[in-house]
Amino acid sequence: MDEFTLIKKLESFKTVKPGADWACSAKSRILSQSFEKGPMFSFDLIFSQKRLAPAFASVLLVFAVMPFVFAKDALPGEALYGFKKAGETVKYALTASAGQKSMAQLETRLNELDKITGQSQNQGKKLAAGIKETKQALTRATQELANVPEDQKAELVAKIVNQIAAIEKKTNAAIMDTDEEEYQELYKFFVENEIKEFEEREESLSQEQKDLLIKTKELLEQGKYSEAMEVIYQIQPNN
Amino acid sequence: MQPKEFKEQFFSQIYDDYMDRVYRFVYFKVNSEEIAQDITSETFARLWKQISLDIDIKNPSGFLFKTARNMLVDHYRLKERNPANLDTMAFMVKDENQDIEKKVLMDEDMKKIQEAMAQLKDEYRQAVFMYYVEQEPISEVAKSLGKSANSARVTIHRGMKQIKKILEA
Repeated sequence: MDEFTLIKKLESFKTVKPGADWACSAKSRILSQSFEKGPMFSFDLIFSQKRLAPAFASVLLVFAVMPFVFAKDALPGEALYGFKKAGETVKYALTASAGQKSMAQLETRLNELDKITGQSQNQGKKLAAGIKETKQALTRATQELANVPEDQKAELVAKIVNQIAAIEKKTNAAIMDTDEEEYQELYKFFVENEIKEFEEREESLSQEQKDLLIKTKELLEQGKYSEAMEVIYQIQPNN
Repeated sequence: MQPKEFKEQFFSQIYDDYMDRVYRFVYFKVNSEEIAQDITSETFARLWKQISLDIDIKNPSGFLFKTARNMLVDHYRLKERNPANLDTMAFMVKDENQDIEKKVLMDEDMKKIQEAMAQLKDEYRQAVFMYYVEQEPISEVAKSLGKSANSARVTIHRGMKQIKKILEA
């Protein structure tokens, strides 16, 4: 078949049409269908519109992220505090080891507690919630102490123990209850490091300081870590 | 919101303008009157739904051919899954009579062309169909294919070459 014949035959296909009766009845059938608008807001409708879908997805993302952004400075006892903790879990899961994570969270709880003590509104409610959160974080941090890298351990523990002592003073709350057995490992580690530091500059210590240091060592050897910590606190370092 | 009468009028206008073209477009692929009717009717039902729900349709022709193409794809997917059922349907359709179609199919050459068209790549078939059967200008063919005019010409040329190859085989 030459090209001219092929084209002519193709053109004649234009005569192919559906039956007039069928076309007419199909039209009536289609027009008899009624469609009602669904609810004003429909995820299906929005996602079926290709141009709207990315914009709507962005809006959803903003709404999903917004509580976490606003919760950044939330304090225990406040509505958005749960978002803050959830955000922290995600953040530390991606960036820190278990030991570092628990220490960092404890530090955050202590900072929160410090902020609460500086506030005048709803302090009672927030303080109670804050102390509870801090105690929980402290328990976790103590349990995870073994997982903190050795070179960071001493500095972190000293920082936290001192921070706790300062907050206890401000709030009159017993955060690090000396009778709690679960904190013994933390006290032990703290005292050992403090002793090491004082020993390095033993020559500069007064006789009274040296006596306290000896007493601390004795208590440490006897396994009385919390008492040893109380004694070592009495040694005021010379500047 | 527009009154129902207005929507019906708008739909009727598009239906009358495009029904034959959409039907032919589908028919050349499925080679079955009944299936072509089903797909065409469903294509227009979807258009009516859009109009009824006040969803803006800027290019009715584009909407109809795109919908018909998608439904053809669905049809062949279904056929792959259940070939026996649809083959029976096609066989039944071939036995049915329809005035004009009968006239066309009586010509053996045209029957072969129709079969060759059905074997073409979607793009080639659409280009050849629009240019030679519907006698649309190159600019319209290009627009529908989303190509430049020159590229559309090349597609038509390749489609024709392919038909000749099938016919000679």
